[in-house]
Amino acid sequence: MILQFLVLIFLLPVSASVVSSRASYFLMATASLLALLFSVFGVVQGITESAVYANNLVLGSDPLSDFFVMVSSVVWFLASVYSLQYDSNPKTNCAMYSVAIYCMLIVLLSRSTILFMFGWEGMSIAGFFMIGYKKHVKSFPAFVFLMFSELSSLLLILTFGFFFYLSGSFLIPQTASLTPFIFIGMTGFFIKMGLLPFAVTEWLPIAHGSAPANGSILLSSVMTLMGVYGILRFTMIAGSSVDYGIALMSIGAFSALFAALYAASSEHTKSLPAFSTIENNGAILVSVGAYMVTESLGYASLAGFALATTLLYSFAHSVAKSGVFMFSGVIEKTTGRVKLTDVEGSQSGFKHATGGLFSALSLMGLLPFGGGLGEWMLLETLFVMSTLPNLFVSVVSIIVGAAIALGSGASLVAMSKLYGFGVLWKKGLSKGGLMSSALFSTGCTVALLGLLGVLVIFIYNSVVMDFADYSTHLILSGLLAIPNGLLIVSSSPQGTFGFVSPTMDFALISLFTAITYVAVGKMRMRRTKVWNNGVPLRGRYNSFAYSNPLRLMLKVFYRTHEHSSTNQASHETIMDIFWVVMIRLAKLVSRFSEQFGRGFMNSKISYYLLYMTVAFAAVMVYLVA
Amino acid sequence: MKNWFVYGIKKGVVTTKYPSGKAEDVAAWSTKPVRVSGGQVDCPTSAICGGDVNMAKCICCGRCSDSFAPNDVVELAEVRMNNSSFKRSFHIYILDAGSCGACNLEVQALGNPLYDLNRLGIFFTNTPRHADALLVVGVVADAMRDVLVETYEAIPEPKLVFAVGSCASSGTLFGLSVTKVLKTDIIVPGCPPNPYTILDALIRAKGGVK
Amino acid sequence: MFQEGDKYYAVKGLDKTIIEETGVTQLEKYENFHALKLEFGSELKGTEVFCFTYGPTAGGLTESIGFDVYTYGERILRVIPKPLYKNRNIKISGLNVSDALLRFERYNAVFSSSYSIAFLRCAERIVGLDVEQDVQLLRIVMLELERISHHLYVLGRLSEAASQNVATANLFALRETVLRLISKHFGHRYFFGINGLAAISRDVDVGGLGNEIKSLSREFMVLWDMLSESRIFVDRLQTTCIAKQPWMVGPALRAAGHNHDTRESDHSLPYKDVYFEVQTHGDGDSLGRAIVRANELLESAQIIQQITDKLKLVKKRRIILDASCDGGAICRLESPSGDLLILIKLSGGKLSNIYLRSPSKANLLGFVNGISSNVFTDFHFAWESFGFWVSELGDIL
Repeated sequence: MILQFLVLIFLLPVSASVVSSRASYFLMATASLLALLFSVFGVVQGITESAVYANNLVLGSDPLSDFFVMVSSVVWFLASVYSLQYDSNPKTNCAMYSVAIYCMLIVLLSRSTILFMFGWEGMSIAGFFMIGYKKHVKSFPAFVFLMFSELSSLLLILTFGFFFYLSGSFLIPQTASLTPFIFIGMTGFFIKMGLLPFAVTEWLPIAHGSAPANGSILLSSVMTLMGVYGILRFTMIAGSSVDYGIALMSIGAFSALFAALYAASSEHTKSLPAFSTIENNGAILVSVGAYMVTESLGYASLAGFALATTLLYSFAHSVAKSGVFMFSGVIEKTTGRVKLTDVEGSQSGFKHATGGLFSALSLMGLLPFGGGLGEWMLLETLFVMSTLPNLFVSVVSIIVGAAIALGSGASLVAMSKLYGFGVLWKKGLSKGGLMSSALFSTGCTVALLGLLGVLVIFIYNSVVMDFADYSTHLILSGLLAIPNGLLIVSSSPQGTFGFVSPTMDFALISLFTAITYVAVGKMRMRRTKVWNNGVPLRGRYNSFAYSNPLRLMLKVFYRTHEHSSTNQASHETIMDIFWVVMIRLAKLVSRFSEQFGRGFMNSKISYYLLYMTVAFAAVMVYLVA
Repeated sequence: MKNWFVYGIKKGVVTTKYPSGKAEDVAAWSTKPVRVSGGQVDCPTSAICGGDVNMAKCICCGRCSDSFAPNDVVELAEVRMNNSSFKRSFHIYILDAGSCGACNLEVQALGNPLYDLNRLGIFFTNTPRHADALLVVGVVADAMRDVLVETYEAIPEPKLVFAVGSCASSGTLFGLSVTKVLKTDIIVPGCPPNPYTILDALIRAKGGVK
Repeated sequence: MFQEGDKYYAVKGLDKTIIEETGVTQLEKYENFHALKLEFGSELKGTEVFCFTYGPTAGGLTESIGFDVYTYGERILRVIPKPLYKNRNIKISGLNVSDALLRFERYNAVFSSSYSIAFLRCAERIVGLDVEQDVQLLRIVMLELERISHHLYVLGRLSEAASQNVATANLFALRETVLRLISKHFGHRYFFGINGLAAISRDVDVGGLGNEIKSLSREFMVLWDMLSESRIFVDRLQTTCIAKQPWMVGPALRAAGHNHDTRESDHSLPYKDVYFEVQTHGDGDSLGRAIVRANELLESAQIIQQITDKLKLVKKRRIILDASCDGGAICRLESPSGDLLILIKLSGGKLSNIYLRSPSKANLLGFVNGISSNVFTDFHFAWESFGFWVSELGDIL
């Protein structure tokens, strides 16, 4: 009953968007809140529900999908509140925004493959419209996005076709055997997550397209989350094997490192977070892989811990990433600039700065924020795995751990750059307003995730139970001055390995700050002229110069090329090597498809497209009914 | 013997014991000339007044060497103000406002092992923000006047200003002295002043050896 | 080159000094024409390129000089020096020789004996004074002592930049020993008040100097051996600021492989009576300049030993100049950083025209060209290796 209710309620914003975008966002915010409430209830209680509409329209919820609905609805709520003030291109954007969210909900709640594909495609097409068609942009961001989305859909269809072949029904099975088809499906999911070598599907549309901040939040935080959900669902269905786990870990580690380095050298307020998403998704994939490996080797406690990492990390990332995009969005709104080197005098105020700061700190992987907790848990998992007796596994864990740590270091550069240069030139107090409030709330959420990480872990116990048959309650413990339940413990087969307590970290930081403040009293401040070697200040150290030592040191990686002429302009270029390969491939494919199209369809392409869409819709209706 | 450590042990300690010991190997003509015989003297900077030499104007040119001879006393500085809160830690910033280079090098020489000013708690800084005192060498060139004032203002209170060298103390043949631009607390005369003279001035300005 | 009235003159040649009247268009063909007027190009524009200022006053600089550094982060794209902050605008026109000498001594105190001797040689040539051999040899001793002291300073600064703290301390201690030696024999650490027209102003006894210099150069050899084995030192200096232009002077020119030393080509002083070898190196980088200086130091030490084997005591003399001497003369001398050129004209015993081209002025463009495409951290190794002195970039008219 609840499920039908949810599905219907989310239709309200979609229909309202035709009339008034503000009403639509408001309704979306309310709907997300309701979804949040229900999903939290569902996760805590561990209930499974299902509702059948017609033969092949099956909705269902279990702790796993409840968890993801929980995470997504937090982001949807914050983004909708943000959009109330932010929205730049009301009608179309709002409609697409609502449709995208609706389809994502469908993806999370569907138990039939047809419905899943409907949601998946709908989500991608809405994304396509949000990114927008820009004739003059050579990189065709919208088409790149659509192309890769269709590729992932194709792979999913293949897998689902295989399921149909096996079981004869369109339902997502409860169990299946681990075959290469599962891996094909997983590939479809990590294309969506934007992992190497498909990174370009994630950063390019966001960087070069005209998706506004709320659209970027959806594309980056939540759509990629769908990929994580998909992988976890398949893992639940098909079980795990060491080989698949190692493969996932390698892909994840590789992506994380590369993406972090690209983020560190990026100058664009949108593409920097986009790269950061790829890095975080890589880390999430590593933890999924770690779960698979440890589960297959029979270490239940480790597997449970690894899965707990995945869930917490995704939660922290989705929220923090939305925060960062909101931050970039405010900068764009107030200064009209997207290049970090041009940003000057953004109207920064307390809420904007704090919200952005917390989100950035979380993404840097610093305690006591949610991202820091996730990072700690991930590295602990890898540390423990490196002590396992299986030599291959431990060596891979060490290498993967090094890559993740390096990526984390590079993300420190990237995020400090984005945050630092984004707030550096304050012109006065912020206008306040809903944008900043939303940003502030996001920041606080991610801070809370860390502080109350123990609570979150406690809550999603049911999810982990479903998977690993291991209670997350065992992860929580106490020590000396730390009350029972506030300590997160990682354990190895030999016993306790390590522990952390972000709540205590925060408590101690606050305590010492308070003591210092009381002891020292009010701060004395004096303003003084800037010292610049005795002459007036001139020139400005910009964000390009901030990461340039990195670009010059890693010349081979970045393909840095410095053009200088004796008299005039000097500049430097770097390239994403995967994108270069993609472009070559794309040119090949496009030449082929042009020839094929000329030969096979000799009329206007758009007619064929229309025909195909209609036919597809008709088939869907037939199958459903 | 390719080992720095062994080399150092063999070399031993070369640091002077000044001010508790005496100053060694002082350049004669960096100290004050005193009259030893009668005779007319043609001083280019009019430093000689009556029978006495005003060291702040003396450029150590030796033209008076027929009637005057240096007295080898290194304590030449005039300390108008000192501050003993710097006794154990005194950070100085050197500013060249228009010198010939000699005074710069004599001040820098205080850092070499034979003088080693760090043993007395005196340190060079790279920025006026961390400094307790400003050491100005040379006359104040036109383009350096604003820079000098800016530097002075960048130093937090409490602070001291040194005019090191005759050019900074009186301008001599070359221009404007520092005393005409800033309120100068310590005058260290000489052309260039002997490093011992500068060291003595620094010690007295910070209120003595710790 | 210089201007007299509305006529332009170019001073050419390294082995034989030729002054020829020329015009601005021919002068502009010379690569360092603008540099000799201290004009170094204009601002650089480009994507993300910005300018930041280093100096005029900063912790790493001995003297006040401003630099506009154009960069987009880490890479130095262009440096434009602004050397006239501490320009004292020294006026010597109308002064007599002994008053002008005071200014020359204090123009750049580190090369004080080079400037004063070069100026005095010009005056002596105009008047037609013969200088005693003893005084001439003593002048060579002064120049070589100054050379040793300065080369020790440059090498000390380079090793300080490379964080070789023990080597730095030892090199500066050695330099202090040389300065104390100078003050013991000459009365003043920077040779102020010693040189006079065709004579010296105070009695100078150089007995024992030879042995003292010998032990000093032995100690330096050991130090230099150890320092050149330091991978860090060598690595920081190698390929930094490569400058090979043939119009440079001094150790910078010789480090680029050109075998030229003004001591050999010019005959203002009797260097032909002593034996020494001109030191060269091929790479033209900071390491090459450091190696040339180290080797020159040892050569200077043995020049001093050669001379002080015979020469012991030189007594003072005072020569008064006839008020009616007129004429012009030129003198070139090898100062520690290179060829120094002075041209003066006397009229009625007083200076009427003067042209001075200091070695720093000649080499500054080499630095500016060589430093682009290096990174920030190379700056000090490049700057110190040339042995620039900003005081000698100022005006003396």
